[in-house]
Amino acid sequence: MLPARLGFLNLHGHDRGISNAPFFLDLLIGGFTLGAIYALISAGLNMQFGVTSILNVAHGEFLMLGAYVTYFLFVSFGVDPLISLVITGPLFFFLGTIVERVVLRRLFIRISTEEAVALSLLACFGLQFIFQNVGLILFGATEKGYLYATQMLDIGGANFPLNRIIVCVVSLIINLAIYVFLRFTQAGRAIRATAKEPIGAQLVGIRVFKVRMYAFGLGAMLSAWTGTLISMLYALTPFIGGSYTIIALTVIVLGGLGNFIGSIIGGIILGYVSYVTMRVAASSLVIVLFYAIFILILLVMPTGLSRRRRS
Amino acid sequence: MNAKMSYFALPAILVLILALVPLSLSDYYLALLITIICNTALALSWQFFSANTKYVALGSAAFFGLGAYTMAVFSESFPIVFVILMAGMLCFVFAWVVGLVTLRLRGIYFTIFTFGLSEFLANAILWWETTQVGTIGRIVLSMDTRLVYYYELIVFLIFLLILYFLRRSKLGLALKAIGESEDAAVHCGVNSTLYKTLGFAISSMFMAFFGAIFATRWIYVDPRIAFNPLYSFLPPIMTILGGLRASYGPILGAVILSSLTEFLIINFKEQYMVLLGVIVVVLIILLPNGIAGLIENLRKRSKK
Repeated sequence: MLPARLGFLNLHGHDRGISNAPFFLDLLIGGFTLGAIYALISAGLNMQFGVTSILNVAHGEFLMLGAYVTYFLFVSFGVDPLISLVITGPLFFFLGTIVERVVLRRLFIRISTEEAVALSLLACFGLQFIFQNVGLILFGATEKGYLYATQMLDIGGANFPLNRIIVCVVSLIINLAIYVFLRFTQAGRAIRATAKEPIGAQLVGIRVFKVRMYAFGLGAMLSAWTGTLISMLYALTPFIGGSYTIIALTVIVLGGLGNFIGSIIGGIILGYVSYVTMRVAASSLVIVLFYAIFILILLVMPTGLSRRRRS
Repeated sequence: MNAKMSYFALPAILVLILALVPLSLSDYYLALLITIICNTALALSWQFFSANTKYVALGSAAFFGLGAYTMAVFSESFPIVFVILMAGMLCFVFAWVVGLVTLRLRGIYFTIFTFGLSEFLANAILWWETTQVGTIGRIVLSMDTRLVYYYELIVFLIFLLILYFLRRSKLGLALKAIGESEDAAVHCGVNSTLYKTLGFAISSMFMAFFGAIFATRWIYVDPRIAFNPLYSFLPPIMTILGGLRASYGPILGAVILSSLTEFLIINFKEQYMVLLGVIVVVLIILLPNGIAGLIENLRKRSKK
């Protein structure tokens, strides 16, 4: 049996719209853009893990599907990718809640939490297979992409493609919006309470299982939004999800599991690391460097950038 | 025949059958049997560490692939047995280092770390070969199917024997104790980091042995073929399907799932990965304790 090749192609496809900016400014802004994307995708995974303790290894597949939905909306109906955020968001929020409700919740009701965490991890592994290969059947293995906002923008005497700036700004806005949502709204408080103290949250009248479902849906939504943004910059294949999952996992380890601000800072740092590596060396070196950072974190500061230890 | 005799006779008969089947089987079924034995071995080695300690490892593909790639690189310059041993040693050292870095911490870091391990190795080797060596991928020394089968069978039997004793050794008990309650085990004087690392390294070493043997089935190997993430996914799934706790669980799961995969590949070439994923998800939901758990339940019910 030689299984069909699946997995992760190169990290970021082909870069569309090449900047002719001075090298240093290119690194500065390019790295920040990538960092903002990484922060966004990690925020989703972090929320899912923090609230439900499910390590969703299929996280990147929601990104891939979201990117394809955006691609088809743009190519077939001419929907502006920024407007399709309004479509992909609710769509994948719904998909995420269904996945939690139908597949993952049962595991946590029936058996001990420790075993349920392991089993849900493997169930997510199965979901990754399903999504990736459904993507392969529906969309084919050839690279797909479209051109959007590729005109050059003048920043400080250097030219940058507009789409990169748009992606950067939009992901920062979304990150800020999640922060405000978690910090200041009633629903956000319920999510934080469930993440911190599930039993205590239940005692004060929070419907924990409902919160878990919505948190998982929110994670899927953030992942799909990242996909929408990424589709403006890079060509798509059904295999892009896996490498983003690994990136998101590294980011949340760096930022501290369950720590939202930490994952934003971690995302920006790793964004710079991988952008500089891709520009200076080779893109296959990025994941090697990520692992080097990973090992360093585990050895030096096992709780990540955050100071307090979370249980 | 008394109970003690059947205890020895049954495995002996099974081994005899396995040793004689190549004489009558066609090449196709023999190839399937090679796959099944390989998957069984992977699942058993996964169970030895992860099911006992409850530290979920998702990096089987990394060790399997490292074994396969070692074989691909050295198959023409050294004798096969030597290369197999070398692959095992290499993986033992690599897994030891990985274990030392990650196993001192909570299980979730270990799981995250092993999840990307095969991707890390594939990329590292790709980078090394493109920039330093200049060639990617190797043609593997091709071997007769029957010869491969006997190599594999012998290694498999030795592996089973070692596993039998390891489970009853101090190491096996220590791993089980860590799985039950790590704090309690440490209090009893179990050096948990040492035993976890050792257990992980041994389990990875076995995966490399079978990766090295299985590579001779492939004609051409490059890092993307060797480090197929499918091999991270299959061993835990097979073990869960068969039964996490039962010693026969992985064997049952591997035989069933390997045959099922083969059936799906033949009948649903395009969709088989999707179907495999669906089957796995449904099985996890319906049978969280595996087939062994089902058998246990039936036995309890019939006693009542």
